[in-house]
Amino acid sequence: MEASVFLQESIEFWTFRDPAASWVLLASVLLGGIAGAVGCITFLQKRSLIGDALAHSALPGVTTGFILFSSRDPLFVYIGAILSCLLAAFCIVSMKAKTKIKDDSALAIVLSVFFAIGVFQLTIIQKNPLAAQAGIENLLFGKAAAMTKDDIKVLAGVSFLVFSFLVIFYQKIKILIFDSAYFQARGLGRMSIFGISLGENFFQKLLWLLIVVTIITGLQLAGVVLVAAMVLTPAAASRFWSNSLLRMFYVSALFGSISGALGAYISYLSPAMPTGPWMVVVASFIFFISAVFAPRHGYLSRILGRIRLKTQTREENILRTLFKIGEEEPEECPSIAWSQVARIRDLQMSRLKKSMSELAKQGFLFLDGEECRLSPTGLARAVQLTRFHRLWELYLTQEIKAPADHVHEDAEEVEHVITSEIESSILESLKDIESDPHGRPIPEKLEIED
Amino acid sequence: MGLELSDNTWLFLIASLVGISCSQVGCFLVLRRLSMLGDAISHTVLLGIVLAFLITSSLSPVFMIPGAIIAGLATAFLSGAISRAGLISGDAGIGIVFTCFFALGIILLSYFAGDTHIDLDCVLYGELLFSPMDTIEWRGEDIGPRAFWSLLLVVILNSLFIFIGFRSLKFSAFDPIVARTQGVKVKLWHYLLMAAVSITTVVNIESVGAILVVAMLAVPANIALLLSKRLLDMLVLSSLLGVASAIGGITLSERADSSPSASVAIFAGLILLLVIFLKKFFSRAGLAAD
Repeated sequence: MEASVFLQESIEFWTFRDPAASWVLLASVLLGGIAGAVGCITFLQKRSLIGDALAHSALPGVTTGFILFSSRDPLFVYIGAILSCLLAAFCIVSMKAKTKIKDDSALAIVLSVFFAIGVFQLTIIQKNPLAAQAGIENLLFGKAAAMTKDDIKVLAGVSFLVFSFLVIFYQKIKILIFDSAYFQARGLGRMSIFGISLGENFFQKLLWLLIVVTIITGLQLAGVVLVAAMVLTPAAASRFWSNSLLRMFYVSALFGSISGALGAYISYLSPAMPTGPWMVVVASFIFFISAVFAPRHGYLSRILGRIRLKTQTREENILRTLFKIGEEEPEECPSIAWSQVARIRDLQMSRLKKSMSELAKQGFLFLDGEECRLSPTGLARAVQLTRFHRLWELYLTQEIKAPADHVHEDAEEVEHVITSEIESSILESLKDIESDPHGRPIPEKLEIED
Repeated sequence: MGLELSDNTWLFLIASLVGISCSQVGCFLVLRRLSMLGDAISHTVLLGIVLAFLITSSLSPVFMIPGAIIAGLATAFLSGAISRAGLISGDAGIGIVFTCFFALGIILLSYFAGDTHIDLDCVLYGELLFSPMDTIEWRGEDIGPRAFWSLLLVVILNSLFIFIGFRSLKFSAFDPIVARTQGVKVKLWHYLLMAAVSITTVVNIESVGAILVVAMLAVPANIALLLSKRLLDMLVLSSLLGVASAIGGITLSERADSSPSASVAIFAGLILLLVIFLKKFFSRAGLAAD
């Protein structure tokens, strides 16, 4: 495609000049948004593949509706699909609750058997297995590009319902996801209208209905696999960006909408390209970027964190070694040869050199040729580390009754991660804090003078 | 030595082999909580065959099946890598990978193969009903359907695999951590199992279609899980249940004049329902131990 044509079509698309394309864009954004938001719930409940399972389970509802009423009316199709998905959800939940069968197996069983029932009925309807598969293909691939105005109206209504439900019941959803036992015990699932009780677990049923309606709406527009992806991938990607449910909802809905918008855009630029699959590919790309590059939770950031901890451990070990050597000499901070530190800590000279100059830069050490000396801040840090180390050893021997010759290795690890909160709770539980299990004194904290 | 059997007999034999071969790997998938992998692979084979077609420009199963098996393996490995990286639990990794692969498959199909007509139904997604008609010859004689012989080969390979690796597979299925301390190469056996799953799933899909395969991987193994307490019992029982579903399902499809693969899957589902109810009934009556 030429650059000018590309630019012109892009401008046309994003300024909504082409009404048909704008409808597709709106629908894809809405669908991505609600699927992303609802997906957070199923993702955190560890039912990630529920979209896949329920989308397959809609088929027998559609075919049964057709057999009973001989009608292709969209309303019948919609209601039939919802009923059969609810039945599928009921089967999944009760199989898990009442038998040894695990969640993943329950999904696979319900998915395949329900879908098979649908195919069974289809072949009876059409008396021709090949024609039956053609019918299934529509369900598999969806029809995002051929959306009608009615489809958009339904989608807009469903989006409004879904978002208001999430806003109104945010607190309940949060408790149900993170502490379902508490939710049960407090009877938070009980609801009533005009004083008429609607039953013990009504809220959970309502939530299932919400999930099912979202999936069926998406299914009609976009097909089985796309729905499965849109209720899963954006939610999984958003997990890398947040630790709070509210933020996950926002981020996931945003990712879903972006995927929808870009999917619609790509298929507008190149009409041979299907919208739905491009939505999935964009969402997968967002997931990949999130999983690798997201700050704090991303793969790279966690690897960097591990390297940082290792470097920090090495540096702190050097400080402590210097302190321990000095402890046995009369002078407070004597000059100590590098080679001695290297020998005690079993470090390579090149690594030691790097850590030494880093420590000197931070003001913990004074370097003098092949010798080094703790600075006052360095001494204070070393005292603190030694204190943590010996307190932990003492804690293990007194509270856990670990033998004194087994506690050193553990303290070597823990000294680098103890905080002052942990220190004070250790102090509370210890009786006698004169000396550590090896008879060495536990140093008092040093105040640093400027 | 021409094998003269009726199409109906072949249908029973093929469906039984589907039941047995799927049960053999299905039991391990169920125990490792990877039941949805069958469904995932049945979708990702699309990417495999499209890529194989784009590379070789041929629609022969000689290229399609290896392509599909590689795509299946890639699904298993990638989803495992995602769940090992943390934050994302096992099922989610499977879902993310297979939907992405499937979408890529469709995009490639509509972009490159738009004018060369790849009919998915004909190329890789087989149908049990037609499997007896696709026969092969050996030394100039008709020896019966290709699906029968390829599935028989899969069953033999799977049996050998389980026979050789029984202890390692058992250990890693029930307690991978203890297995590692006992010197079992858990990772190696996991990958070998994934290879067996991919091969079994792809050959089955090629012979009889995806719906039946997903069902046969999950349903008989779970019925066997409810009824047995030892892995060997579970494997044998599950295979028998696979055969029973095949016989019952094909009979059902003849009566109802409907798709045999769907009928076999439904029949397996009915057996499961029956077993769950009978178990509840007997345990309420106090006749069963658990």
